[in-house]
Amino acid sequence: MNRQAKPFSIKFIFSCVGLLGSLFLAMVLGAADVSISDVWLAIIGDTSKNSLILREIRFPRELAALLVGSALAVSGAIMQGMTRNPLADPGLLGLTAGANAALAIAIALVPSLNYYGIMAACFLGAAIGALVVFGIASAKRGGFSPFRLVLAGAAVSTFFFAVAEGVGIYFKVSKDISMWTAGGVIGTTWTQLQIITPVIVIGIVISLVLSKQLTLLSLSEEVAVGLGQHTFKIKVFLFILIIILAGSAVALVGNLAFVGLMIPHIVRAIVGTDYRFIIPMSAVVGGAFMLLADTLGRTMNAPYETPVAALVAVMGLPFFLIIVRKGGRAFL
Amino acid sequence: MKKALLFLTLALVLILGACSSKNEDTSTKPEKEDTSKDTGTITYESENGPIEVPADPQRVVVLSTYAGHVAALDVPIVGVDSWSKTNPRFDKYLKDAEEVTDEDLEKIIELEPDLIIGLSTMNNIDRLKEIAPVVTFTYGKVDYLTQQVEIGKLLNKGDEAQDWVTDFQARSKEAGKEIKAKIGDDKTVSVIENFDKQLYVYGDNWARGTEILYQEMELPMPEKVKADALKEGYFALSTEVLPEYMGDYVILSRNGDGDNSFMETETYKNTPAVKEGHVFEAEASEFYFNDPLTLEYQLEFFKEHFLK
Amino acid sequence: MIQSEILKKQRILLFTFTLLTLGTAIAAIALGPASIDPIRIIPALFGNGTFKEEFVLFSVRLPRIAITFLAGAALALSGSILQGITRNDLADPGIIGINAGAGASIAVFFLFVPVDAGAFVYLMPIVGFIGAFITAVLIYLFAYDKKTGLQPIRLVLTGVGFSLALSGVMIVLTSSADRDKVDFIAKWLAGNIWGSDWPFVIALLPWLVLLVPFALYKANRLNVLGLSESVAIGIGVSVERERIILLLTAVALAASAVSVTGGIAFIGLMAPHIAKSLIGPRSQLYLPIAIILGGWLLLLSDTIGRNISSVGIIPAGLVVSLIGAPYFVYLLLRK
Repeated sequence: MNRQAKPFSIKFIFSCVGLLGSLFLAMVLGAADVSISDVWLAIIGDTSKNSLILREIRFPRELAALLVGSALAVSGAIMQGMTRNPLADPGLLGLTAGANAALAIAIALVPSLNYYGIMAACFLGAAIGALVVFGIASAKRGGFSPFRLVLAGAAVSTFFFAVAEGVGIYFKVSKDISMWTAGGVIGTTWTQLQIITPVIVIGIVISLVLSKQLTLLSLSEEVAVGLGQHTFKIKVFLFILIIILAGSAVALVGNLAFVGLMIPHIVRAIVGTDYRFIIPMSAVVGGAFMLLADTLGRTMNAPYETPVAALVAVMGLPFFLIIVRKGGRAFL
Repeated sequence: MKKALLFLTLALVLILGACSSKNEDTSTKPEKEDTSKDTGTITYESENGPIEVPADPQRVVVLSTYAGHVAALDVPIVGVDSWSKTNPRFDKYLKDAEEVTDEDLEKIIELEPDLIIGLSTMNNIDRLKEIAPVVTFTYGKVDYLTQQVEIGKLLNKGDEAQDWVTDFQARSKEAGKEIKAKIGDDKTVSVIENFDKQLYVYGDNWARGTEILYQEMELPMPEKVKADALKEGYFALSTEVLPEYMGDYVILSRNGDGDNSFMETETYKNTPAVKEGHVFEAEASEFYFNDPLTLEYQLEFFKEHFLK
Repeated sequence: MIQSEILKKQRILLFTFTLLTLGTAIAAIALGPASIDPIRIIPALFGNGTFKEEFVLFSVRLPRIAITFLAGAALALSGSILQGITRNDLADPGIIGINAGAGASIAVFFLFVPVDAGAFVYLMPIVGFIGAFITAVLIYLFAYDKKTGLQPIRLVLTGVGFSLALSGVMIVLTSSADRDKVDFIAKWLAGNIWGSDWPFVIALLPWLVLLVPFALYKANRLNVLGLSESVAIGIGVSVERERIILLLTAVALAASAVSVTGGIAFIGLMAPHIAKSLIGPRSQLYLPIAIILGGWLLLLSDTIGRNISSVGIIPAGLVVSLIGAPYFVYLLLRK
């Protein structure tokens, strides 16, 4: 362990530098032209036009991207460890769709829902979606093949998306729903961040605390029990963490598949299979990835914004294919 | 029903009599006066060739865009698209009209329309033709006022439409002069709308009052808008660059249920237009049309806000 | 070869489902926003109705019934074939990305190729087929392995990945387009039976007339492919070739159906399953039942969707998903 721990700290520092670099890029690049000095001025509280743009529009939005990337990556990592399934991802396994459906129903019933309400609906929906998929998964003794889990996820997602759409048509609220589910991090405000940042940060911290237990669980159920783990209790905790992280991500950006899938795999290639390393690294790499993706979305066709969810989906496919071809084999 | 028909026919005959001389001028002569039925028809020279339409339509279905045009000529509408239906300013004319789409053939036939108007891109045109004469227009093919003249010809009220157009143009130009005199010749105006989380800025022919501001009043648009939005008609932008697209005056066509967080930012609040109170907010659901009813409302809106 | 008793059972089942379909069709004829007295249906069918009655029956409801039945049947057959060749009970043209492929190509076509409305309508099925075909080829190539041949599981997983990524592509495409067009695409995606006129029936029919007998003729091959790879090779079946031919058949069936009806999933999953559970896994026995069942299910879903809400038509695709997804989960749980 010790031999691995040392390189890990170096790797971790490197990735943190990478994150800062992405953050820097995200700040400087964008529809409005700003310089490095503008970024500095904005941080120290200048009130010129560029500083304002940065502080009010770009900072909150990039912070949101960072948080969402971290949250999704960590929740993906936990899911993969917990289910011992290389294809686990909140978008693939019904959480996102569940959150969508709950959101639709909430908006239909309470048209003037505030942000707390939206968030609550997202958590609830994500929990229901995940419970259904995992319920199906655990209904079978001795775990579940990743393949079936993905299919169950696909079916449950289709169902919840249909519910969301049906509710949208029936109550004529499609437009309001789509505003929440398809916007990416555009227009994130400090108010939203004030609510969500603590939730995500606490979620990630608790994940770090539980990471050792997760490692045991990821090896095998028997090992974990043998080493005195209260498997069920740990699983419940982890499950709640997934819901909180993924749910808040959905409340912030809407639908975003593949991030939670990709990042843990990339991270595993760097730091190995110990979740004490995977979780912090996922948080950092996930954040950096989303920052870059959002920056790309903003600059590719500026000032028009390419939706980041779409970019991620397109970038995610090759990755998914590689896992299916190579990495996934051992699990199937 | 029969009574109503009888009455209708009577009314038709009377109106036809009154209009027959006018029809000569507008060169759309009634071809077949009446064959077997008692209803008069005229031939309208549409985009796709001549179409025989009722001379005095009483049950019109408008499947997109043109509800205001038809209502402005006091022609009864029995079915209408959802966008027009949700425009509060059309309530007076459309409160009894059914909301329909080009898919709702059954609903449409239940409405027993005598004329169907829509866009050339709509679905099911062939089957709609079996229900009633269908006239389609290609959006933007003719300018916004000519459009009204065309609808006027179609509804056998060409003169009325033409009169309104002439009058409206004169009044717009007049108002434009007044506005320019008040705010100055070189002050720019931009028209901005929020939809979902995206912001849009518009060129000179994309409804929302753009025709009046730019075409009639000839108010200048900001250079940036000219460069990006004029050709396409509309341009989506990021909140970050919004200030660059805001003119000295801004018409904000606002979607109440959209994302309005951009209005809370200092960036927005610090633009000259906002600081000086030169942003005029309109309700998007009332503003994104360019039919006579809406145009009148827009003209009033501009007069009221620019000249107050 | 096949016991006469089971053949009798098949005939009874076929008869039952045909009856059910006819019953639903009658309900579909009678129900809708335009009020038609049920007593008037028969006279109207024989040309003694008023203009309105005849129009509603012949131009609106009958073509819609025909198209939903045919599309449902095509999807069911396509699903049956896919389940057979992937040796996987959970394969469905919607789930493995064929719908998304057809959808993406139709979106591209709709947004970037300027054609007038009339011609567009007839090109749509062809465009959908091309898109689905390309997607299927890509999925096949990615799932193919030189050493082990086609991995059925990998085929399905690759399909799921493709369908996610293609929906991403659609978002990119539609986000820059104008709202009317986006509206249309959104409706298509939801599985709103949009091509509900006779020409579409005519466009769809030849595919079925050709491919249904072909698939039934290949039923035995499908049985063999359903066994393990080595057994199939042992019997002397050129596995790869048969599989490709059948895969193409399935793609053609699904694409022609969804290009007219929009994105509809789960019919291809449910119909073959129910059929198999009724009469067993022999292709000769369950294929005909699955075909009729698929048609009936989609017809039923559309009839429900048309009449459930006064606000407008709830797309049949949504109704199918709402019924189908729980069924899918039930299947997963039962196994």
